[in-house]
Amino acid sequence: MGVAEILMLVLGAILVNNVIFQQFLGICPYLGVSKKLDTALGMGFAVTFVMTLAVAVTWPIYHLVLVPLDLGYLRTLAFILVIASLVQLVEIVLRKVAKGLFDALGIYLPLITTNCAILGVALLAIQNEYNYPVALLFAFGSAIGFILAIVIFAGIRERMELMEVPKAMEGVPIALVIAGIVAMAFQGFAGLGG
Amino acid sequence: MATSSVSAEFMKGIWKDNPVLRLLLGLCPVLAVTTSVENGLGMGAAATFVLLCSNIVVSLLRKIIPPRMRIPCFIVVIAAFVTIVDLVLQGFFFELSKSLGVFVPLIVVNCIILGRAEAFASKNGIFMSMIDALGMGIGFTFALVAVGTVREILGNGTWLGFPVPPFTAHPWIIMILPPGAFITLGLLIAGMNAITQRQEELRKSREREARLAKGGAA
Amino acid sequence: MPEQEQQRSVQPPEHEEISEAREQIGEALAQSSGAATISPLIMLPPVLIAAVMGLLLAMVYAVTEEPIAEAKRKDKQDKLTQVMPAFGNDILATEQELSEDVRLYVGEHEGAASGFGMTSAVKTGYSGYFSIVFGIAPDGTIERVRVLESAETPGLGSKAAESPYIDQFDGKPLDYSFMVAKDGGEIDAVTGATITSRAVCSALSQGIGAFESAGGIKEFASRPTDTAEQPGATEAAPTMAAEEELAVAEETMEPDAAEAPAAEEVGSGN
Repeated sequence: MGVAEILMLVLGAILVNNVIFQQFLGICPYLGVSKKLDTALGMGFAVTFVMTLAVAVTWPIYHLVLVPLDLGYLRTLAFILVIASLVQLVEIVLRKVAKGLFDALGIYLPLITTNCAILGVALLAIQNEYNYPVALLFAFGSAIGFILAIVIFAGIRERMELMEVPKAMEGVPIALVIAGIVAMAFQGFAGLGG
Repeated sequence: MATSSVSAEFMKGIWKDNPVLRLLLGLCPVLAVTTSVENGLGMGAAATFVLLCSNIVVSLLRKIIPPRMRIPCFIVVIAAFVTIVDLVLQGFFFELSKSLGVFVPLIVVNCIILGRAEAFASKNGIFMSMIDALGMGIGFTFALVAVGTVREILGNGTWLGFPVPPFTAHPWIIMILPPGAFITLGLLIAGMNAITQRQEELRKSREREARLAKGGAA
Repeated sequence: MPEQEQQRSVQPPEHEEISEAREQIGEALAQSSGAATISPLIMLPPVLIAAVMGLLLAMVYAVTEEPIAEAKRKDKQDKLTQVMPAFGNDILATEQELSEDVRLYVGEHEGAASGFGMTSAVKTGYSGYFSIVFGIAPDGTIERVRVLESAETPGLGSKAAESPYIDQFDGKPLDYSFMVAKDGGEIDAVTGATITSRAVCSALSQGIGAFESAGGIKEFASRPTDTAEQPGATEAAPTMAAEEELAVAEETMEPDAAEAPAAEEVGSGN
């Protein structure tokens, strides 16, 4: 696979098929993200780490263990257990290595387990029949797209503080409408490269 | 009194504690599969099945599961039923399976199911857990159909595939695209909030009146 | 609601509260973290439940395995029937893998090749996984093209997979330059869905390329059901220049290829 194609794949995963704005994965942490940029980035890095690691582990489990044993149907069960364990691992590591971030993320760290973006990307890597290196790149690109989305949103949150929002729209509703407007902007990438 | 609490449990999942519009759980599938009402119904049915089975099993096992490890246990149970639904859809509802795509296996991380296992099934008997599951499942389906209706009618000019004449001429494609999903759901939740706030205000003003009336009579 | 749970903040000040229900799940998840490091025995209940569930799954799989395979077969069969000239044989039995992403099927009618079907998948590029199925008439033109699998959520992109846009390929010769206008070709793209239109062209070119490399119509028309092991058939020259191929194909047209649709004019856009 040429370098140009690889680049297109990664760019595609980040912008054109953005994991949040196009594929609708990872909405929940996106809506709850902090307006402090460093916490948002910290969350982004945690998700990137778990996402890439998840694909790194689940891909071989599927192709080298489940498929040869004709146990492909066990992949949902196996993958979610792997992800749950990985998140626990990340929690243990973060608690030792970056206590500040660990505290700042609070319960949103274990909630990464239920982040549909992680399981979703792991399953898509299989469904799209990528080979191992491509799958890892796909995961990494998707995670970058996720970071991009939440960083944009963290920035918008700052402005939202100054907005006067009707009481019914406060919180999730206005966040969703804003996400829709940002998604519209991302639609522009559909013509990328041409 | 027993009957009223059963129907109360059932109804709360549909309106008062609607998992999507009030508890704000399970948002991803509502955004992703509601490009048509048919897809929404399919997803609702699949998720309700998983919710029902998992609530029953979790309630059955609730005395045996060690509290600390309860989430991993719930996940295993839920994942199994999700796989069953996935296999059944692939074998007997092939087109629906392809339309829903990766969101069928993603039911396993749908916070509604995990949430009900944690909040209800692990603390209540089998029958009530079933009622809770049915109510929540129907509430989820209701939200899916509501968003799907708006998106399909405005974005495609049809409802469940049947043309809706005023809208077939110039559909707003944006409704079928992601922005339409986000905005529709956002406005729907806002609408729900507004209704609930209004009910709250009415209730408070009635209480105030009642208190005043009592004070006056005394 | 307990405020502290193992020194973990329930609601860090900078995070927006999404909902109580979600926080409940988060707290419960937090409790199980590190549990395994305390006592491995605590892993027993989940493992036991997993084992029982696994057995249940194995039983369900045993029941659904065949229906699933059958549904997939039927779907492929239906799609091939849609895009190929009429055939009467067991089309799936003729499947040949020309490359990792390209498959060929040979349709037969009254003992002779009546057309070809191909599936072609492209995995890279912006569209992610994208595959098409298309039919080739014996006179060397495209019969019909349809999208098989696409990673896209429906929207503008899927418009490029529907009529009338997908119909513009019908009747084009195999040596046609399948590129969207933006890239210098003649294919109309759906406004705002250039990427999907490109993906269709890219998959089409890949499929045709593999077909030609394996010998093209000459190769497969003469021996419909054999795998193409030996060099090409008896007639014409082994190498095919673009213009020659059409002429040769016309010369050696099978008797019932009269049923095949007449080739439309090259370059007629929609």
